[in-house]
Amino acid sequence: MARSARQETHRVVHDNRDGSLLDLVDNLLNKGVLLNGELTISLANVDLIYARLSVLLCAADFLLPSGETQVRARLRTQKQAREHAGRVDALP
Amino acid sequence: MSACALLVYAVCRPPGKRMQLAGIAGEPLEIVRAADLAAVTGERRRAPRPTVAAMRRYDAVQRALADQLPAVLPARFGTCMGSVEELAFVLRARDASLRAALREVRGRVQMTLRSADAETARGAPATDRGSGLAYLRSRAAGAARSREVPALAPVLSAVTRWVRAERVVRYGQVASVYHLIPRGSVQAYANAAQQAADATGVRMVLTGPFPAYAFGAQ
Repeated sequence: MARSARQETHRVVHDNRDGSLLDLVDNLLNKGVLLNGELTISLANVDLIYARLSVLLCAADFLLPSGETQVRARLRTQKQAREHAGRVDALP
Repeated sequence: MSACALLVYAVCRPPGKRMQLAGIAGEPLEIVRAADLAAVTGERRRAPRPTVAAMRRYDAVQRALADQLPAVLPARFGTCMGSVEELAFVLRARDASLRAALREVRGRVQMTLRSADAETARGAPATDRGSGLAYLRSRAAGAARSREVPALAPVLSAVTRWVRAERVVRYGQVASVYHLIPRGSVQAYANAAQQAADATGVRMVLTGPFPAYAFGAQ
């Protein structure tokens, strides 16, 4: 009885084709989500400035080298960013 | 949202037959070929909004592609190209890295293991003081520590025979371990993980199989 209950739990988690919202967001952020936008600034019905904006939302670990984010944050808090900037930027 | 001509869903090898799949807005999916690569695209007038419904449809398209093709690299949600020529240029420019990534994911799927891992999260941070050697050693120790998930150790050792690639990511005290495993080994992998978790009292959540979102070229 206990075994069948366990198998049932396993089946639900493992074979859920729709997936949870957590998995959906996690998977898409692992790859990245692009937000695109356009902005046109006009004056007196004359278009003066056109801006095309792209924002990438992505899990930092998948874009930045491992640990770099944490190192940067720690150096900033210790006010050593300027002293160690070259070393951090040289990280792979 | 900005104008969009081609919404890119995935990169793959040129498929042998025409695909009968629809995109997130019901548009027919087309194949754009460049060199020895192909991109699965859909024509759209606007880039998609990142709503939950749109992302679910996008994920469904990725799963359908993974079911039909031996190797698929999901594109970032919202990747738009202005023309076929622009997309072909990008494919040619990244030919080597994309082909290597396709080789990595060919015939494989992603499984995700999650667990609360407070032990590692509270570990001592790497120090950057002292000599350069001490700094590099601390960095190496930190990198090694980041790949360890003690809370999942019994499960990870039980499934290691199927694992072809692994990534570990932590958000706070939650550790996520992404495994790339052969497509035909999903059931065996899941059974082994569940049995190891039951035997050792490990609390984890196993989900999958997914397309290889956490692997391949970015």
